[in-house]
Amino acid sequence: MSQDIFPPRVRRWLFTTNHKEVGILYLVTSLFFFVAAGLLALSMRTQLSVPDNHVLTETLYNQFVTVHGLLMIFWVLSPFAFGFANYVIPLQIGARDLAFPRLNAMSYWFYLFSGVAIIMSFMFGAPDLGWTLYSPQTAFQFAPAIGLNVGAAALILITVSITMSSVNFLVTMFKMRAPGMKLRNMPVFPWAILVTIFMMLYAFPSFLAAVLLLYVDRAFGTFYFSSIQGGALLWDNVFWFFGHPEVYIVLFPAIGVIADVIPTFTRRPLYGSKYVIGSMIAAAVISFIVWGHHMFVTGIGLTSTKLYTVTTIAVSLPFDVMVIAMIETLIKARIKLKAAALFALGAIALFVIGGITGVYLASVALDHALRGTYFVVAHFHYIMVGASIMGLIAGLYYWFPKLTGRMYNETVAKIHFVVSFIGFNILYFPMFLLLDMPRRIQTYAPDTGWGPLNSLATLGGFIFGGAQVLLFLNLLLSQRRGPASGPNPWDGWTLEWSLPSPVPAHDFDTIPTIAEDGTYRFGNGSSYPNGSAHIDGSKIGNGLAYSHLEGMSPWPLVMAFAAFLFFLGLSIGQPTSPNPVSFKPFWPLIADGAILGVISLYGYSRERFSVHEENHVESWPFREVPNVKLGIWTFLGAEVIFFGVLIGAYFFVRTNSATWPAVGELFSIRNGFAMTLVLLTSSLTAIMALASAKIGSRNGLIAGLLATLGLGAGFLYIKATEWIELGTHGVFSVASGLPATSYFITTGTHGVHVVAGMCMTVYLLANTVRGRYIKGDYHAIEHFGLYWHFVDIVWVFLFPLFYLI
Amino acid sequence: MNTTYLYLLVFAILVGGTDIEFNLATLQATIPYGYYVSILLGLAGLKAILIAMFYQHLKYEPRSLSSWVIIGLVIASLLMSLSFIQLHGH
Repeated sequence: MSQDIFPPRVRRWLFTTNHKEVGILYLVTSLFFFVAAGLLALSMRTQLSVPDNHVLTETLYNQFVTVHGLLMIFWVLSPFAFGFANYVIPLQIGARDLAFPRLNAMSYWFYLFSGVAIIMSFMFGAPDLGWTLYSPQTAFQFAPAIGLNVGAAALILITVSITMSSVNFLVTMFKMRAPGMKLRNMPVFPWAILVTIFMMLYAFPSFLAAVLLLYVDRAFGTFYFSSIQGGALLWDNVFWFFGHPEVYIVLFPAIGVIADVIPTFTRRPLYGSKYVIGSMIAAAVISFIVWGHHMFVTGIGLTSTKLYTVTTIAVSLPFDVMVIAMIETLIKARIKLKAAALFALGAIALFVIGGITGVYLASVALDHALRGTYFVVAHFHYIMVGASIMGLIAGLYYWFPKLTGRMYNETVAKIHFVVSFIGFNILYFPMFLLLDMPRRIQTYAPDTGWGPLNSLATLGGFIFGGAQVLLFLNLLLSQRRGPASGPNPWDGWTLEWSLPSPVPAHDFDTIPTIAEDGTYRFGNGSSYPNGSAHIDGSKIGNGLAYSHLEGMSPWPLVMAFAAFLFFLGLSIGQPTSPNPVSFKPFWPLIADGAILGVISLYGYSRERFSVHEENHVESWPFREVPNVKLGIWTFLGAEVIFFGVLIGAYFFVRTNSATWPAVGELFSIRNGFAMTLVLLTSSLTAIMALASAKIGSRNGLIAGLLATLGLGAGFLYIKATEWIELGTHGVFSVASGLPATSYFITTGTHGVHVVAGMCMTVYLLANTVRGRYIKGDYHAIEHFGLYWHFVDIVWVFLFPLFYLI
Repeated sequence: MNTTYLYLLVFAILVGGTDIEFNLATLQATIPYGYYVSILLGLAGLKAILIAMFYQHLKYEPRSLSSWVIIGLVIASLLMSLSFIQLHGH
């Protein structure tokens, strides 16, 4: 693809793969969505400001509530944080870029187009049932507008983006730290992002599976969430398994920012920083076993209720440690009250209020009374906005000089903080007092007595929203006209402050080394109070030209756009029958997306784009594992969770069903046996292909790959025959009941993975014919094998589950 | 052992395991259902371990990588078990 059709300035932003530019793209886009979601919130507050108000219709209000929640959680909070992570983390750990720069750019474009999709959902009747998308309201008969399909497609796209990003950051942080940058020496912000990524890797595949099941229910008339055996409880489980860790996923980066900001402006190292990191890890682990507290009133049983009460109270303890560490750092410190520090301090204060009110909700008795009221709304906004957004705004002021090379107006920034803090509390504190007002109601009667507090909250909303205008004006004007900041205006201690502002494209002239005690000293003399360590830029100078840093690629953008078209086409078709649900997708868009996807995959794989792996870097504990292999294993970990949820959903509906087809009644055991043998044989041929590549046998490699391809096709042929045979009986279509629903969707998803593997095989075959992979560069064959064998392993479980029990 | 023979041996065990699964289905009525399901899922687990160890080379990878995978699987399994405790309570 010719990149020259765009002027250089446009090209730079469209095709960049540089982590700093991608970071800025994330930041700007997330702030745009912040404004969009904020305007929706202000509209909602206007509607609620007085009783019996009808500025917004009920439907529009519900749509605003839903899209506001989705935008803030998925398109603002995490991307805002990952804008900083993109820009700062490679600098803080002494890496030249992320491990996979093109994948990083692709993550961004998937994010952007997913955001476009969620906003486009308004054109088709946006989702209007709350960000939790509770079942069975999502069933087609209750929510016929196809805007929900578009919303589901948007969620699928952003989940793909987040998964790619997680793999990328994880490999970068484990494998590309500067010499001497031990894990224990990493600043708290990278640690916060690392812990966040772990949570993302476990939580988001679960969410992807949940949204996929929601989507197939709506598009193909399956019964996961509209049946009694699955229904609300199945959705609650898979959604909140993701949903509660998600709270910490959006919170931890802000805590990481605060933990960087406070030491800088108090001139003291973070008190008990290792305990803070340990607490983050503990909270992350426990966060996966608290999801049931969102389901206390669903009848989950006494044992589960007790368990989740204990775990929910337990998860508050690590946060106590973090807050105490911050406060201890502040005691007797000479705090420089710059805007970044003010926002960090404000975030801590609001987090304490939000956290304590959350502990009330861990009590089953109180939860029964308070759930679904504005008390809950106040509680989670104190966390999500008070702690997360305020903390991230602290980061915005803190790193603005580094990003732009200019200073903002400090006075305006301080006014921004004061007005924001006051506005925030006027907005949300009254909601704690609205103990009996249900959330998500469009209006209320005058005799409820809720009017005055709502009026006050709306006033606070406009004060808080108006304050953000100061932020945007200040930063927009300052990035053009602000005074030069110099490299280290705050006397910061982390590595990014050792570089010029803005940071040059190649980051470090030479990779720094970090001394054993992990503390730094910069040219201007700043250092940790107890530190004597130094950054020595002269030790490693290999003189390499890091061409990829200037390298641009159009394919991440094109591939994301192709996926956008494909999923949009799947979503915006026409329902042809409400019962049973029948849906006709918009095939032209699907075809366009598929064709563009194939072209972009081809272009991506053929593009000469080299990523240099540094030697002598810190890469414990994966020193001997190449970056790509670690990335693939991490991706496979996410796949385990994805299929785990699909299989879990199967178990869920099956154990809840009174009847299920007997073994051999519907599915031919011989078919299942044959498919298993075919796939196992394909694993053998795949591993023999690798063995041939290792000994340089081109013919052996071609034979192995061809056999794998043929066996994959054979598997699909048997599967297709079985599907057609079951369908022609007329009683076992995809919508004929839960056995059919779970069978077609689970084996179908596996089939899609087989097709993906076959596409890879074709690509590898084409390259093998050209003479690749037999001169020691067999790693692509090995990486393909990891994926193919995983697909085989999944079938090893599906065979007994669907054919034998 | 020559790697080709090793791969073939693993393949033979995998096929043998699948054959046992297939034949167990014919004996389903004679085995208590709980045992029947447990044996089948156990066999599937063993086959998966063999594939991961020898075809995905996890046995020969650095311990950090194999631990990484095992820890991930253990956590995922624990979380799923919790779901079933909850389901049982329901």
